[in-house]
Amino acid sequence: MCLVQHELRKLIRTPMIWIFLLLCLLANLFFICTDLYERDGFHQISQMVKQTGQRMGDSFTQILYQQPKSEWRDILLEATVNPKDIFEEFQMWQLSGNELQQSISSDIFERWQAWKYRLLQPRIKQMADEDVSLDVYAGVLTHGSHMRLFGTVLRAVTGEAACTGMLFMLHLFGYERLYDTEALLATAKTGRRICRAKIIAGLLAASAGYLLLAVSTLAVYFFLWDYNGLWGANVSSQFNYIVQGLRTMHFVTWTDFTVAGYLAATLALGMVFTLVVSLPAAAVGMLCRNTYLGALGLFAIILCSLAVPFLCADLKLWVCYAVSMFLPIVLWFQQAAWFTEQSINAILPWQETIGVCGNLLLSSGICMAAWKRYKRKDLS
Amino acid sequence: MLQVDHVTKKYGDFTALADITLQFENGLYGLLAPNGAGKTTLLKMLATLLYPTEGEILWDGQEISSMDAAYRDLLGYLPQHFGYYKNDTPKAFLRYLAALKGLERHQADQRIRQLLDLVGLGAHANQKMKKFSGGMIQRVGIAQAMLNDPKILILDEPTVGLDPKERVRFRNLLHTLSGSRIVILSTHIVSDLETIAHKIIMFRQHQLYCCEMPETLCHRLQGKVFEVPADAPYEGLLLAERQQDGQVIHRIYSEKQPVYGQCVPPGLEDVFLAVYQDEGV
Repeated sequence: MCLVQHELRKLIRTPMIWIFLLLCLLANLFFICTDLYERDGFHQISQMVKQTGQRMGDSFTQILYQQPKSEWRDILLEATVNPKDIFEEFQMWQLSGNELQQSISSDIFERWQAWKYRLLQPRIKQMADEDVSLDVYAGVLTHGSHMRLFGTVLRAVTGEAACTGMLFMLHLFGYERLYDTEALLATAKTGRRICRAKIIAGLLAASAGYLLLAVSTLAVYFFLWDYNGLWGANVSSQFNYIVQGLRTMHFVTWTDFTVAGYLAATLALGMVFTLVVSLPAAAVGMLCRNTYLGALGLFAIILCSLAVPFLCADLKLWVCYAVSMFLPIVLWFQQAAWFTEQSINAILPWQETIGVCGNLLLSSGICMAAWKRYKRKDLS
Repeated sequence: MLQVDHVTKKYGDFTALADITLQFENGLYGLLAPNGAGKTTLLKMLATLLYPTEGEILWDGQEISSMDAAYRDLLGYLPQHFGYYKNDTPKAFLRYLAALKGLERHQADQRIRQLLDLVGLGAHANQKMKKFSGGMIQRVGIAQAMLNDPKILILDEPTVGLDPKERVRFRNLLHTLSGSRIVILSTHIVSDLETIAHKIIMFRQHQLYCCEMPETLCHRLQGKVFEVPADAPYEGLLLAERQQDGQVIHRIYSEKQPVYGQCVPPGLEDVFLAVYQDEGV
């Protein structure tokens, strides 16, 4: 533990790390503050929904009608009068038979998708039984606010934390070469096992970095956007949807999520994701022992991996395309649709969760292999 | 006993060391060879930084890489070039290295105090090292190598940057230490070894040339080192020159006595120059 503390101290005493975190926070502040045009309406809806409750119906309409007259009250009234449970008459072909699915000509891929939608059927029935689509969430502002929070702000936080985690690892593993202390460390009793302390310190720092970015960004976000009446709303509200290609699809999650629950789950998975991408950075750091070269190499790999699904789709290699959806960068890219069925971007239920956990195992394996190589590597 | 058994180190096609066999027991061993001869490569292999391409290194019959931490616990190593955390004080830096060497905090603090006094840095224990001179940093390096009271002390060019007074003090310290441990010292400064080394190890063309006592080595040149006036003719290798009564005197190595030559007792430096005469030393 003492060695981990020493490693953490190395990070804390590096000014560039603080500058990077500050830049990330400034970027998040920019994302939040440049998109405030719906804020008044959102605030009013939140206040009204606090009085009415989330579930639409006669009582909801009645209480809403009693609220002081305003432009947003009328908009909400219009949108929520005579609500219908969209999942009651929901047909699976609305998801599985869409033009995106039909454009794919691969038997295996189609079978996988069919299997996924068979698993989704009971969930749709459950949602219909529980009338979850009758939750108003933020009414007509639901999609915009949901995407702003989960698609822009939290995706930025996860991406920044992932970069921070990678930089922490690369910095820790390049530190001894930078200061020319590698020989002193490697010949001490702990020797090359210092890598273990470095990995633990890197993971702790990455988690702390993620928490710092998430907490401070969300503090600003929730200071500006009033969610008081919305925490208990089901995210599969009929007002929430995902845009995929040119088509909008219902926000069908694999289990019930309130806004608070969905936020907590996204944050938790985001933290694991940060650790997932930090571990390969440790492997690269161990083998290359140079922060700058390591960072260049790693970011080049990540950027190239972003092109893989597009390439697979262009070449109509649908099985490869399905596999490429498990790439960390693609999982991150899909963050706004985490825990949903994700249309052609997923072949498994809970694909993002399975993908992140699978990548965690894979990253750990890569790290172990790098450690084995490093143990027998000449340190000249 | 530390044993180097038929060790070869290759980098691709280049052979840095070929078939080296050596045995080290308590005492001071001086590695004397020109740059690029493989001194540092051998020391790095003994310090587990490099792995032999062929052969093995054994401590009491056990292969050192298989001993892992148990071997490194016996080891104190000062590299030729080493860095430090510039914003650390020597005390903090040594504390970190003591933690890496598995020393308890209390034990480490005591040892650090002792060693900083020993290397003459007691008064600077809490100053940031970025303000230190090269010699002071070298002394921190020496202190770190001795933190765990090692059974094997490996020092690669340890006297670089030390002033003459510090060098003498350091030489005496090594002499004392070598009574109860293996001290392996690589240096270019022959005078560092002449009086304290129990054995001198020399490499030629990446192979072991000798591992002998300094007296034995000097004896090889007995009757072959002469001093001649600078203006007198001679055949042989110029080793050094000095002034005496306003006259320049050449010290030479020659198989036959020059006409005006006076035979003088050979020193270790003469041996070094004679052995490496064809290597441009």
